[in-house]
Amino acid sequence: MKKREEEMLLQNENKAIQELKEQLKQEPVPAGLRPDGIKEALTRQQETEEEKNQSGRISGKKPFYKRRGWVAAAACILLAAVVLGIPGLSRSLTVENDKPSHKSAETAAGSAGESGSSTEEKSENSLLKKTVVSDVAFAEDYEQLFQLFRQQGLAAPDKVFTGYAESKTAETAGAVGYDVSSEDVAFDGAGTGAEVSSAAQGAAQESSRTNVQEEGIDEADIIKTDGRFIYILQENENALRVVQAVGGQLTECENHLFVPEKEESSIVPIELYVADGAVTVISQCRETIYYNSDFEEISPEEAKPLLQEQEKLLDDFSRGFIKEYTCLCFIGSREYVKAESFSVDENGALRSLGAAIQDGNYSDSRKVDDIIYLFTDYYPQIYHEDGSVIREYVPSINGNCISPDYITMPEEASDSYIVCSSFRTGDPKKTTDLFAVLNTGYGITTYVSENAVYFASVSHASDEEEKTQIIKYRYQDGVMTAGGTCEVFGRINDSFSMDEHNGYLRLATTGYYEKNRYVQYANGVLVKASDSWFEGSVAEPAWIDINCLYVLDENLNLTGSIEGLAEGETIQSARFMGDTGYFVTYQNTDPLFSVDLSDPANPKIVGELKIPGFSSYLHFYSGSLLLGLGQETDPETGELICHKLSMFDISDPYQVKEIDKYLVNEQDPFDYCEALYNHKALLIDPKKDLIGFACNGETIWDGDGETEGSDSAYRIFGYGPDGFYLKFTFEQSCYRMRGIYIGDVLYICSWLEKKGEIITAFDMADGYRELGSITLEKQCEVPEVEARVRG
Amino acid sequence: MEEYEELAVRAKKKDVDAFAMLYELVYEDLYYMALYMLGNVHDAEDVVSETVTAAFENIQKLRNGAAFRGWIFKILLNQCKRKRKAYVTKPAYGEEQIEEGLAQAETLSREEAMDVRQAFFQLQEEERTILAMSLFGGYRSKEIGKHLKMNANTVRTKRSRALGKMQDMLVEQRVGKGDGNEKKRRRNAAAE
Repeated sequence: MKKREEEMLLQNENKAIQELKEQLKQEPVPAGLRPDGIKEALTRQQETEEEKNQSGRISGKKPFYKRRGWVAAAACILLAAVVLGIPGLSRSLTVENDKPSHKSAETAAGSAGESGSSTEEKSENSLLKKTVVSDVAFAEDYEQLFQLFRQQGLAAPDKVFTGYAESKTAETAGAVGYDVSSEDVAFDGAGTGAEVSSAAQGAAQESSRTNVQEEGIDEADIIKTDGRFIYILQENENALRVVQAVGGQLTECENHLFVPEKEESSIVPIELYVADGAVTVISQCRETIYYNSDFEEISPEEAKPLLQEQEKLLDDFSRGFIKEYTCLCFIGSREYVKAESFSVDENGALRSLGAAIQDGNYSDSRKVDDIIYLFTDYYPQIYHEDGSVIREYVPSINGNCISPDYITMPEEASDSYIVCSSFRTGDPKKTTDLFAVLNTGYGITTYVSENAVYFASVSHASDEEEKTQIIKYRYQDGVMTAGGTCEVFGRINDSFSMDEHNGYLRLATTGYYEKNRYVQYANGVLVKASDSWFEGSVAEPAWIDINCLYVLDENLNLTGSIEGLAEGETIQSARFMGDTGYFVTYQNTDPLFSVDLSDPANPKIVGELKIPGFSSYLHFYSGSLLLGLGQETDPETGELICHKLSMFDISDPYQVKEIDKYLVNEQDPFDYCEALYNHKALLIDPKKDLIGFACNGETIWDGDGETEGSDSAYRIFGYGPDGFYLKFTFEQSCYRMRGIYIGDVLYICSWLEKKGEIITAFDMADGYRELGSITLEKQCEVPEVEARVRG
Repeated sequence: MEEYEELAVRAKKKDVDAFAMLYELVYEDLYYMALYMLGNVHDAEDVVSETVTAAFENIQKLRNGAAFRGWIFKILLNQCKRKRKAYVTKPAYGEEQIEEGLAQAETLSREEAMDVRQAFFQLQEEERTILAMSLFGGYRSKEIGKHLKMNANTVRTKRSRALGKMQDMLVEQRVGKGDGNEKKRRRNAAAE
């Protein structure tokens, strides 16, 4: 984004920011970090380093002190030799002793690459260091898993505190297990769901569906319809509202509240699915668990006196009356995801069909036919040093720890799991299949094709170039099998950057790499050069973004790649269709690249269209039309102008043209448009010629919380022979707006801070005439009352 | 920037004095960014010390001295990322740690500053990160977006909301403490 625009915005907030900064800075900087202390430590570090160098030993990098005892640690510092400590840099490449100029080096490397004589070095030094593990290793037993986490440094919390005043209750957290129920996890791949009353049959009309990445693979959302009822999940209200919608007439049928099962626990509904008369709501739950000093679970009542006593101890400790104290009570937590299904009868009343319980934090989910695949992240937390309590480091599903032969292990150490289970919407208690995989990366993006699930996460090794780890699982009818892992260069923009076609996975990545350290081979592959090239080189070292495209086969072996595209720009959006892929990178203008992927071994960039602005989301509108939703910018300055719709003619991938564009609300470039970042917020149906999305203007904060929301507008566009045209605008002051349709009626659901949810119906067949509306009122307003009494 | 460049040239020759002077230019902001991202005094201290060690070890790799600030912040950000990853869930934010620190600080507006910090730690982790990076690291929305895998616009919106929330919470706190005159006045005005 451009400087000027940022600065404009910053100026508005500048005062608040400066004040905030000043106040936050009143916290003193620890004495240990003052420059003189650091200087001393560094001097010591240097001396030790010299000693080590003389004795010829190299040790691992270590910080010069840990907070538990500066002096002790400082005395035994082992210091890394400066250059030797960095793997890869000292490795040589093709030309060891030659010191050609930068330019000739390129040529040399190019020819070497083509001759194939340097394949080995190439794979070792290529930007893409691929490590395919086709044979997946399963855990042998729980002991093996436990040892792995111990190696990662996971340990029980310290019981005795001597160093400094720790926080009040030595809070430890993490998903710890719970009583394992006697019921066995049922594995029944062919199991049919329980009876589901199909209320929606017959009466349901054709209705909008959540905009998804892959046809036939449903994604969860906050608002859905089955053609008869509208289901709205209210995160702020912990409620599922069911509203009957018949030709614009709206009736509230059910208001289901999600309440935590126990005291000191929480439940937050996140997303929902609707299928054949059943609604499945996915909620994140968190439970607080207390432990005594032997790490035995105790009830909150039992914990209370212990906590009080502990507070006294801490008080004495902080005043220096006692030198150390033993923790009496530990506070932990358990996170799990609850997927509860309900049947819906003809009146819209809900009846619970049971719930699937899966350990961890909600990551993503998909629904294929009536099977839901639920993905969570799980972090082990060890309290018992002997590994005797399995549930502390193995995730559970429906109360049962996952068996080791369902857990796959990586080659590298890891400290978290990706957990997945599948179940039918009508019978969530019955697990169809499950697996867990130890994950080494973080920030997981999930992509599900019709055959496989891919998890892309950022790898740990952030010292060098960015890497993304891909984990593949195949699936069919709820049954999942491991499909291997691999690593590619760069990071993934979103799930649209991945696509599977004919068994090949295509990936578009952007990565930060050290320019001038790599040379480009003729076949497009970038290879790291040896250090010797760069001695005396005047080239500025520069870490810069580049974009790459990789094609991987069924077993995740690399078949083709293009590296080093659009230097300095980042991928903003990508979309693949059959043998063609499109992606948008951005700096000041928007190159829309088209890629011919018909030969997996040889992907080719066949077109590049430069237009101002960029598209954040691409959608195939019809056979020859590609819709881009994004932002218009000034091609000179890069300054943001407003949101825009672009239509590209892709009938000839070699000659992509922008045939029309529409600038949305030019007056207010700072609108927030959710659909740009969340494809599910977009209502799109080429058959009905509908493109609908909301833009939220600036929220005016009066400091009193009296606002209903920001000035927002929901717009419906069409695309005809003359290009884009605005069909309808609906303005409201609210926070979130979503549109859905049933038959010819458009329903706009808006969330208002004070009033709650308002659904307004419009007749699309009659010039968007308003048909009626309903307000689903908020249920509680506790804080306001309290404040008034005290004020 | 010139001072950075000159010092960096010396620091690269492993001149500890020069390095310490470079460090002095940035250490407060380094610490505050870590503190407000991680929410824990001791972890912030660890992270900064690890960052300094790594920076000193690798200073030769920094070719352009003027970029020292951005470079060391990048290291810090990576260290924070790792630390964050190590947290199983949100870290126990030691309120009394801050309190303890404050007692030493002897500031005039102690109470008010305390309020601000309490309000700050009530923000979501993501909001804290956005504010900490922009306040102390001087990062722009786009760079923050890159770190958080988020669009720059989203970052901007979230930053505004976080600031709004802070203001709201501070008003609430004052009301809670009985000197909510301003809010009361407004309420009365609204009632009439």
